[in-house]
Amino acid sequence: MFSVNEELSTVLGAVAHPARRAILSRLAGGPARVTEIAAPFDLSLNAVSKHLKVLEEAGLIAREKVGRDHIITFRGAPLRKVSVWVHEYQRFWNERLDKFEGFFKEKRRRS
Amino acid sequence: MIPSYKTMTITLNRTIPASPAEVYAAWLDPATPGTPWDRSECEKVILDPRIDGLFYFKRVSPDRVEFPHFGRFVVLDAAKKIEYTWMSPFTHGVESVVTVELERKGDDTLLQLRHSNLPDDELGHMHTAGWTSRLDALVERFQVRRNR
Repeated sequence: MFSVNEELSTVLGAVAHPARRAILSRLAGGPARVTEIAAPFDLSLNAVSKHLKVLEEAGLIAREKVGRDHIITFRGAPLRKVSVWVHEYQRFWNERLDKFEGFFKEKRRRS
Repeated sequence: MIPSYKTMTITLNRTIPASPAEVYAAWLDPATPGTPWDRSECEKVILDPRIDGLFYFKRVSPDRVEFPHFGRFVVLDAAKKIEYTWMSPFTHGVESVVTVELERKGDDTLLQLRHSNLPDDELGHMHTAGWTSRLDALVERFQVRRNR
């Protein structure tokens, strides 16, 4: 089976949480302050900070201190590793084999 | 032609609830759902499964972008192994190789599919504009895989 290395696991783990994906979606549109990121969510600043820490550890965001604010910027580079994993044919053959396997499962179930 | 870029191999394993002979015949039949040349999903399927026989099919995206695929059968070892070359827009016109190997396991067949000599580049194209929805699908797939 396709090997998932540790770094890739960290990135996938970071994006496994819907709140963190939503935060990344927001940041893909441009840098933002922590309070601006938290605003649309029903989350405490503390919870948002924890999510940001996970994203930071995965290298998906960068933090810059400007005066009293922390400006958070999206970093796409780790996703390039993910893009190798999700090569067009990885997706294609997975989908093909799901269907192929499903066809025989259904056939056996009926017999 | 030797590609001037890095190449990669994709390997997938599945257990198919059928005998190797059944799986072998089904893989070479465009009427079987899930084959690369599944007639219900492709336009203009041509398939000549014998050594040096050729295949051609065209997949068309919902926005009518055409992806023609073609290749040549290299190994046809009944109920054991099928190998064919594979060219498509995703291989930059270079021959990649698909190998399907079958092995009996009780009432089932272990199917290993190996796609080698693939360009290891941005063809998975996770571009910034589209990456979020792809990521959702990706994580879903990852979770499904881990739960298997």
